[in-house]
Amino acid sequence: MAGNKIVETEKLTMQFGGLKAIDSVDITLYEKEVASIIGPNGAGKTTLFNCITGMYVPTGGTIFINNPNKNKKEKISGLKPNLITRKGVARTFQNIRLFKNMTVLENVMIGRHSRSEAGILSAILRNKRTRLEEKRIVDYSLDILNRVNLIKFKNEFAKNLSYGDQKRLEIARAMATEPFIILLDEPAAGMNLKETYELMDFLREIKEHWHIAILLIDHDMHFVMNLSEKIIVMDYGKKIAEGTPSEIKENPLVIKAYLGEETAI
Amino acid sequence: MKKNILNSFNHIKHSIIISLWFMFLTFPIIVIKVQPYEKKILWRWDNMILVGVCVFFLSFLWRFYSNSEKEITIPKLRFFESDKFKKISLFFLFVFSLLFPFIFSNYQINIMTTAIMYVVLGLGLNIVVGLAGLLDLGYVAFYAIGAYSYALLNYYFGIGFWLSLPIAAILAALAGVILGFPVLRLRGDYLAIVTLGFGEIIRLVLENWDKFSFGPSGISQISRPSFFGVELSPDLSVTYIYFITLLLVVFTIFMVNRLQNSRIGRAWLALREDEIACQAMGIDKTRTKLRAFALGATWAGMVGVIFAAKTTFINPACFTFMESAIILSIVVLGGMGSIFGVVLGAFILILLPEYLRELGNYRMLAFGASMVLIMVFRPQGLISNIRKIYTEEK
Repeated sequence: MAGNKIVETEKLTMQFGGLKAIDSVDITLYEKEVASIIGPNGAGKTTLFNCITGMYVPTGGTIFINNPNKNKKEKISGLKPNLITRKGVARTFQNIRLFKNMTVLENVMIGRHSRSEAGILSAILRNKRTRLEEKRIVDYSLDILNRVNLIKFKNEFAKNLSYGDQKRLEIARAMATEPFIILLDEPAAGMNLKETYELMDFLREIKEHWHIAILLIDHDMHFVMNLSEKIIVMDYGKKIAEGTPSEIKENPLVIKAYLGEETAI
Repeated sequence: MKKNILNSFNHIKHSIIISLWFMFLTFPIIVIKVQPYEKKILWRWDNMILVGVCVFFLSFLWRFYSNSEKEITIPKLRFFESDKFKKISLFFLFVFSLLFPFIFSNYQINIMTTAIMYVVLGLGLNIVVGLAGLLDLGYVAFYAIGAYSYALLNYYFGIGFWLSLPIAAILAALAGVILGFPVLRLRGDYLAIVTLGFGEIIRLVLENWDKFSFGPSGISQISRPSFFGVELSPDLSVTYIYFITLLLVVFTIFMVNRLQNSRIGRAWLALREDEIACQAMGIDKTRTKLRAFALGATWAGMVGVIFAAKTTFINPACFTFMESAIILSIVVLGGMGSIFGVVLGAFILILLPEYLRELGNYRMLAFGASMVLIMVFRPQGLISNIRKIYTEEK
């Protein structure tokens, strides 16, 4: 696998009381890579996401990132979520968490928050610098909306969009933070076949044109196998396998824990 | 045609049932009157008929309008939303507010000043509750801090109104941050309880700290604002304070309008909508919350100074929970997050009870009824949250 390591976890452990939701998991992700995490419900996939993005502070182990634009290895475990986003790790949520009573454009503009700096004083004075910054935010956000084909809804409230559009908007909002990796929690869940194919094209475009790595969780095997270059399988908080889609399909451990004997993929 | 008649017949039937039901419900309070000294019971049957007829007509009207509403309202709304209408009405409002003190009596000016003060308070609380979504039931504490800052600074050091205004604003903002820190992790009901407690703490401290704040007897003879060093007569002061308050409200609307469509304002909205997603978008939750508390409190501090200067006497009883509740009602009634809504809400909530004084004992009843009616018909507030429309310019 070519490219630099961009995310590394070392013996990452997350314990809730007596339950080890994640049990010393080592994961390495590379630049511009599309990787997936699969596993049965309760395997610790979303917990892993929450640890990487700082929603949880891991009880053991460390997480490092290496932003390819800066090329400096940094420890991020223990940092607050907003700082981790600022360092270039964006995410979406399993159950859509849009800002429902804000317009579509404003949702994306929020994503620019960490890349702009106007404070209270400049908001009130609205000096030239602030106006310029505001214009840059709007332009950048409009550009992203153009790319995800949501431009026609820009002044709609986010809650009025269809389910598929909301999922896309959530990805667009994450893209606005200028990440080097984006973590998608079940992006294809609840989508029909056509929408899933559109999403696959969209994610490939993210990778090809924007050079952003993707780590995703999904239960749609067709989607995962087609899209990913690497698949990580988790069960009971442990990583049980890692490899290319074809390797994973053959892996007896994975078949036993998750895919099932009879499944034809 | 036949259907129409049938429909109106149905309306009449329903209205009759409702009026009968109301007559039954109000029977004990409207009809029976016990006179304990004469040991007599008065049966006021005429009241019952009055209630029945009134309710019948109200109910009928309601039914009639709620059925034909759709066709009537659309063209009207379009006119009200046009820019031309906005500009014209703003201009008239401006001229009217400037001429107001020269047309009306001091009593009217005083009421209007109070209403405008509540507009500013409402706009301040709107930052915390409407924009940032933090339910603050102790907002009156900042109001009290502002008023007491001026009263005490004036009493101990003889500091004037204009210097006290920024000092009180800063002190209130500091108090906002002090309240903000312990409640950073709290949300919803829990936050409401803690802020409620905070409001009471401030009031109780002021009430019991005799040596510092003179306890329940309060502070009197607070000086009125001076006009470039000239002391004004009480009569002129009323007009003067009216204009100061007017200036403050214009200033506030200007600031809040700029804030709510800025990076900070959007962060507040995001915080209100979803705290977790907001953090995932790179927004510092702590700073955003503290900013909301501090900025919201600033306005209350400034209005507090004006209040102290206006009444020239304050005591802790001016700053009970009731005040917080009224300010919160202004925000909720007007529409959370909408400036125009808050202005409208403040005028309704403050002016209505004043002008309903004619009704005597029924004043609060009518007030309550109008609030219930507004909430029935507009549960989202009078003016619902409208967001800025961005147009593409390339």
